[in-house]
Formats: sequence, structure tokens, C-alpha cells
Amino acid sequence: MTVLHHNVQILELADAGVRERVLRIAQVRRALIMALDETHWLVHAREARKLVEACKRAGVTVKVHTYGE
Amino acid sequence: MASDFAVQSLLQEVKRSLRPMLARWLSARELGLRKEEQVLLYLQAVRDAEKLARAVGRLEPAGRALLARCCAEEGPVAAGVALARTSSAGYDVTPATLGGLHVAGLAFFEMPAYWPGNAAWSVEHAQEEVVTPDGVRAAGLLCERAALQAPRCQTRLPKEAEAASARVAALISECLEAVSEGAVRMTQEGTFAARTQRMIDAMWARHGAAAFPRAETVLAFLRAAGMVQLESSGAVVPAAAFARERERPAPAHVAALLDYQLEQCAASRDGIEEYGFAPRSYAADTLRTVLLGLDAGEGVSVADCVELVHARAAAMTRGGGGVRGWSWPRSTQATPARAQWDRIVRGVVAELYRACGVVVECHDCYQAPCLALTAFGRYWLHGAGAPLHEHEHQQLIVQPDFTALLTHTGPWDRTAQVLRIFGAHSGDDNASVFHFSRERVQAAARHGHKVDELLDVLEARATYPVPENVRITLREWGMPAAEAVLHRDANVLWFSSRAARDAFMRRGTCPARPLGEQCALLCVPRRAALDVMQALAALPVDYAQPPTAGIAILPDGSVTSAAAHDLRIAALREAIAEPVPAGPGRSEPRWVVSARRLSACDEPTQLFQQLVRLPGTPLSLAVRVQLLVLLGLVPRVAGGTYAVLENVSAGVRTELKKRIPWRDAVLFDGTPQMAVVAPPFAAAVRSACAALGMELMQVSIEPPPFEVHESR
Repeated sequence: MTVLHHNVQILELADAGVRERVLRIAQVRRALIMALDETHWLVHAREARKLVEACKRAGVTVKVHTYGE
Repeated sequence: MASDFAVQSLLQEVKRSLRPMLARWLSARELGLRKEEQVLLYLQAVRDAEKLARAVGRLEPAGRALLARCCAEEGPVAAGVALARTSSAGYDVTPATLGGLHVAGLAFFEMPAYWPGNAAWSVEHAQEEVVTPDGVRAAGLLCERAALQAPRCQTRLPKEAEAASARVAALISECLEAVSEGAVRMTQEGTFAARTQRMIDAMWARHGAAAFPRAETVLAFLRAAGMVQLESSGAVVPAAAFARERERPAPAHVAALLDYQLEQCAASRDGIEEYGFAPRSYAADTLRTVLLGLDAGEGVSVADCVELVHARAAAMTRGGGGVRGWSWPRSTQATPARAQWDRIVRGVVAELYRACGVVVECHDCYQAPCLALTAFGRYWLHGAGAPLHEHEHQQLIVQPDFTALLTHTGPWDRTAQVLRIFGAHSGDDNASVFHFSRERVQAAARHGHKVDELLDVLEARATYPVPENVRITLREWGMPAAEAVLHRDANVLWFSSRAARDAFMRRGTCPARPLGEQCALLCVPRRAALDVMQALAALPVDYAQPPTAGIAILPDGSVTSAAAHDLRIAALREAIAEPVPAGPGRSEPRWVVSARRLSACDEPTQLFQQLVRLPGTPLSLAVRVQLLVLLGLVPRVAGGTYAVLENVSAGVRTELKKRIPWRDAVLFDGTPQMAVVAPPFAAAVRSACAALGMELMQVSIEPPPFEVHESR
């Protein structure tokens, strides 16, 4: 059966080096639910803000892309 | 004001007459005041720019240079070091010059016992620090290098004069490229990782010169220059100044590396204990002054340089001379013997100046060996006339397959330098090929380079027009991209097979991006996503709500859930179980508890808490204890019986803590759900619980409540 997962947030890390750096951050690991593929992770919405802040502190620029109206 | 306080207390403490010194700053009437008042008036006079200029103007050039050296450092500087730096800059200084600064009231030994008088100058004097009043420091005196004459000869530069500096430039460029590619890693001991060491060995061997600066020195220089930084993981990554510094002309890199090595040499304490100054730094600086005086076509022999350094060092430490009573009549300070100077000077020439290509070995008109200044050396010393690469026959051909062919290039070629930043390089100086790829261009853009610089170079230097597809694609690749993207308010559609997902993508009814094998990210607002869900008759999972069901672990080890389509549940299931082929009559694989996955869990406590907090029927106590044992959170005990407290509220926990040593008594604290008690404390906890009206339960996991899959 097809399933729609909505109210979710996806973290996309295209670059391998950045991926390695970001996935070492504790706040990021806490926010992850599971990997969807090599470059995309499902993220707990309640942890997303902390994740963005932690990435910024680590010097990783995070672009927030919204599909909302 | 810090120095003024030091000088004030020093002058009040010193036991000799200060009248000759104070008479230069105070009037006859002021000299009649008490000593404390005279000192205060003196410090006030030193702050008067006019009086200070007059006092400095009365000094000999050597005295002025020594004073400037004493003020050059942030804090007080040792007398021997200041004398050595002034002497190596071409000034004839002796301890008497420092005595002259004392009587002029411009610089003093910090310890009164070392002031000029009848005692001999010694190495202890050289190690003693000199203080200057704040007024003198504020004057901003400068010590320009003076001409230092060594016997010169006429010579001609050999054809390969610039080879050494070019090789160092190429090495630095390759090191930066390796850092940009993330290929440089350090171990915890601070040495290069094995793979990095192999790469560096190959790099150094390729450029084939024994006396190059070591790889550790080059890396330390890059770190000191703010170009790279060392991460806690050991990876050497580009730092903030990476792009800006990398774009500087190659000769500037070599010059900066040489300056860094000289700074390290000057900061070294080698020889300070024995001689009161660092002989290697003295030799390097004196040679620099000698080289500064060389004109084009002139050379100097190493033997003459050794003689000069030896003679100047001996003169620098000689006693006598100066103002009577304000000097040191004799000196016991030792300097290296001539043989030592020979070894030191030849070492400096070979390891610093010749290795970096400042000088090159050639022959004079009598075929005697001598050193001549290269074009790079002239640039390093005078700061102008950087070696340039100009070749009238150079061709740059940009091809539609994202390669650029550059002919007649060289280490100083700016065109090649820019192309190397954005493209993978192959070939040699006769014909170099640069291959541009998305990864290379994006990595360069991420490190701060701008693709416009590349496009400008291509436009300016290309022999034929740059293909349109190359220009457009390079610009697209070079657009600044975020390192990470958080898709907020995203909706993910999960299909039962890849074919179903691909069919949905092909229909194109909704903008979407494929994710992994079976998912598609809908790039539409939520309302549109819900329309798609209705059209596909898809099951909704709302992540703003907790999962609709939990996980059950059956006695045969099967892990099941009524909400298996919820990816939160799926992630927990994957963390504790693994799929095994479905039994007869079943299409989907069965998930069974896996000892391997449980023992490999990174954060077992977090995983356990998530499992017990799931909605739906809670896991039985025996199952929970068995999970704790498998996760390694509770040790396995003989007999398999555990004392467990269930539903421990915060109030009860506080009461228990007052009665028993909670930290020692509890093997696993998973309150409020449960706590596992250590066997030696079971009796004490039971009686404490009884007093609070609670029951300590005995849970046995023999036989185990569920089977565990042991596959490896």
C-alpha cells in the first residue's frame, strides 16, 4: 500500500565530506529518524531547529527549503 | 603604563647615582628635588615627544637601532637577543651601546645588579631582560637594515636558477590541493595518517630535492597562515583564509613559507643558555643583510659569509668602550667557534636559502663556488619584481568536453594556477590538461573561490572562444550551494515497489523528487500533497502526532507492529531486528530480534527509552529486562533473575535515595518506567520499598522470554 508521510522534515546532505562532518554532531544524530537513501534523512520536526543551529555552529551552511504555502 | 611602573620602581631601587642620566632630562632646579620626585618628572619628560626626539637624535645609529629592537617586541626583550638582532641587521653594536642607552635614560636592565659598572659583561647579562619607558615604546622607532659589506665577486646565474623556488611553489600548491580534496589526515599523536604519509612521500619524491622544507613544516605554515585548520577528527580542512591565500601569486607563497621558517628560527631557544643569543637565527639574519646588499651579477662565497658572521658575533660580545662608568669594561660572553659557525652558516644556506630558491650555487670568474641571488630571492628581499611567467607562444584551448589544454606553462604561471583550483590537472609544463567537473568546481566554490575568476581567465587567455556550453555549465556549477538542505514541511510518498514509484514519477502529475528505492519527495504544499494522497488512496502517517501503534516482540523473536508503515517504528524495528526470508505462504519478510544489531547500537539507552515509551501494549517486564541485557545496559547474572522496580515516581525515587545508596544499588535507572536493582542491594531495597508500600519484583529471563537471532 502507498503511504504518505506528511508533516515530516528531510535533511539533504549531498557532499560526502559535509555528510561525515554533520553526522558526527550529537544534536543531528538525535534528530535523525532514519536514512531514506545515501543523501537524505528523515528528521524529527521537534529537533529541526536545534539541528540547524548545531550545523551553523559547526560551520555548515544549512538552507531551509519549505514547500508550504 | 605597565613599563612606566616597572621603570619607576627600578629607578627608585637602583643603588647608584642617576644624576648623569637624569641631568639629560631634568632642569638644574628639578635635580635638587627628592629622588622619587625626580623619577616622576623624568617619566613625564620621556612622554614629551620633543624631548624624546632630542634624546634619540643624540644617539649613534647603532644605539638608535638597538633601542628600536628593544621596543619591537610586545614585552621586555633579552639584552643578548636585542644585541644579536641589531648586529645581524648590519649595525656595529656592543654591550657598551646598551650602556649608552642606560645613561641616555632610554632603556634599562630590569635587574639593578646587571646595570653597567665595574663588573664584566657575561652570558647572564645577555639573558637579562631590558625595559623601556612607555614614552619610548610609543615613539614607534624602526630599525632599517644597514648595508653589510662582504667580499663580492662577479658571477652569472645558471639556467636553472629558479628551479628550487619553483619546486617549493609546486609543493605548496599540491599540498593545498590535497587539503581541498580532504586527503590530509593526522593521527591522535599529531603525525600524518599512513595514507597521507604515502601521498606526501610520493609528492616530495616527485619534485626530487632532498633539502626541501619538511611536510610537517609546510603544514604548520599553512595552519599559522590561517589557510587550513585541524579538526578534532584529525582531518585537515580549509580554513577561512583558504581561498584568499590560495589565489595569491605562487612566489608570495614561497616567500611566506620562508618568512615563517625564519620566524620559527628566531623563536627557537637553541643556544640561548650557552651564548645568550640563538646562533642559527643570528647567522640567518646576518646572511639576509648580506644578500640585501648584492647587486645583479654579484655573488658572495659561503666561506666569506662564515668569516663575517664569526667576526661580527665576536665584536658584538666584546667589552669596553662607551661612557665611563656606564659600560662593562670586560666581557666573558662566549660565542661559537669558527668551525661551529661554518656548520651553522652552511646549514642555514642549504636548509633555508638554497632550499627555498633565494640563492643558487654558481661560480665566479676564477671558478670558485659562490652564492648568487635569484630573481625569486630579489623579490623576497625587496618585495617587488616577482618572477613572472610570460611565454609568447602559450596557447589555451577550451574544449566542449570541459577540458582545457594549456601549453608552455610553468610554476609561476597565473593562468595555470587559477585553472588548477577549478580543474583536475594532468600533463606537464609543455602541455597541461585541466579537466573541470561538478565536484571540483563546487568544492572550489565551497572553499570561497568564485567561478567568475575562472571564466575571466578563460575569456582573457583562451586562443579560441570558450564554448557556450562550458561557460554556462561552469557558471551553474559554481553557484554558491548550501552544504546541507533541510526540507521543511516536506511530504514523502512511500511506494510498495520501485516500479510503482517510478510509474508515479513518470506520470508527472505532481512535482516530485525520487528518494532512495521506494520514496518520492513531493515538492508541493501540504494541501496539494493531501490531494495526491487521496488520488492514490494512500495511507496517511502524520508525524506531528505520536505513532498510532507500538512494537510487539513475540516469543519466537518476531518483531511486529500495526504501524510498520510509520518510519519511526520502522527505524526502531531496524535497530533491534533484521529481516529473515518469509515463511511459506507469506510475501513480506519476517523481522526477528538480532543480537548483532542490538550489540552494535550506538546509543543503547536512547533506543531502550524510545522502545518503552511507544504507545500501544507495553513490552512485558521480562522482555524489557532481556532487551537491557542484550543491549549491554545490564550485566548478565547467574540464574537470570533480576530484582526490578516498576513505575517509580519522582517522589518515591527521592525517598528511596534517602534510604539507600541509589547510584550503587541500581544497575539501570530507567525511571519512571523501571529500575533494575543490583543483587547485593536487593534486600536493602526490598525493605526500603516495603516501608513506602511498594513491591520489588523478581523477574527471570531463564528461559528467555523471546528467541534471539544470532546471525553474524
